[in-house]
Amino acid sequence: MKRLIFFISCLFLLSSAQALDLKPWKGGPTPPLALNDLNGKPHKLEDYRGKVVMVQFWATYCPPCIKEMPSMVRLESRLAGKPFVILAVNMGETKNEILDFQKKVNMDFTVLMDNDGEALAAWKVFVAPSSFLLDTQGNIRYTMQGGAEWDAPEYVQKIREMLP
Amino acid sequence: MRMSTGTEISLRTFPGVGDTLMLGFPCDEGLGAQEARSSQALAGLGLGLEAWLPDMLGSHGLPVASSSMEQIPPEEVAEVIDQAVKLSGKRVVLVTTGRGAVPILQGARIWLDRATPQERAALIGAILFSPDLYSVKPAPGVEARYHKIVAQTSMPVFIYQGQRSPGRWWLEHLKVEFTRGGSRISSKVLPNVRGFFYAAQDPTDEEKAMTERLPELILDAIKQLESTR
Repeated sequence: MKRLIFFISCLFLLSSAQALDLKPWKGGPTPPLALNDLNGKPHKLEDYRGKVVMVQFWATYCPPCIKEMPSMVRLESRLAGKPFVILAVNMGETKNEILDFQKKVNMDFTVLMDNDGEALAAWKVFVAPSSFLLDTQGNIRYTMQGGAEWDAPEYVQKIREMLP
Repeated sequence: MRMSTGTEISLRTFPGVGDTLMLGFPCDEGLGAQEARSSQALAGLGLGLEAWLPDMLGSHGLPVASSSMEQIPPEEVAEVIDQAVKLSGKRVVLVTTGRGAVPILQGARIWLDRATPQERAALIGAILFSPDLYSVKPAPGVEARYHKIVAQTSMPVFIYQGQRSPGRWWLEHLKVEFTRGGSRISSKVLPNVRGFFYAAQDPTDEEKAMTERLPELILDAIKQLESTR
């Protein structure tokens, strides 16, 4: 029985620790984001007003990015039908590099191309992956540095709390 | 090499004829076979370069990890530089990668503060591969802070930054920080390679090719450092 309690306590501590990885945003206004996707279609952050947006900066050479991609796909599935979207901003790689990567890793969400690092500089991104969770008004609410299992209950709960 | 603290630092040496000595220090990935191969190649080129690789991690029983870099005593790095200058009688260039840049720059600062003007001329500068010089790992959306040693560095520095690394986008930012200490700083972005390309467990063809070019890259950087003195 003691072992069971210990095990459950460990699980609780683990999930609490994961939730703590999301840091409440204490910075200023949301920086601009206006980039093209892989097909050349322009996207602006303003286009997503009314939706909770996860803006994630990533690169194909980044092992934690690769590891967490499947959990991001599962997160989108879990929130299917809800006003939630992932914008995965690639950090200056070529279209071919990303297309090659997509053959190996399922990433069924919008990939934006930050060819000259302009968005990365505006959003002050120094490590990959770096993630920002924005509310329906376009305000940054949380940030996270490093990879995560995004479909873990505590992350899904945080995002659900931000949904209208 | 025996330090005044009593620490014995084991040293791999690759003798070469000429007046320049490369001191290759450990980085986050340790001091591995690739550094030794490149050092041997450099010394064997007959271009006037000798190479020494002091094992600052092994001497203190430190694991191969980024966090170990903070535990390398800068005083000992200063002593290694001092002994290298005095024992070899050659001009010395320092080389490291990643977080290894912190103790190396700190040690060089200590040595330069103690050296006479004539002695100082023996230190050509430092070659840093994809240096990690943040004071703490920067959080998303927050202005990065650099380790204070960056703005305290006055010797010439050459940075090689892997193109496939976030640091590539902040290279100019870092260079501005270096100029605060009076350092003459130059750099080159290495195309299609990651930050630790030569120590990668899964190197791409481009990274393997760039690793083969390490001796050439070091010689080019030395020329650049000498031209900025």
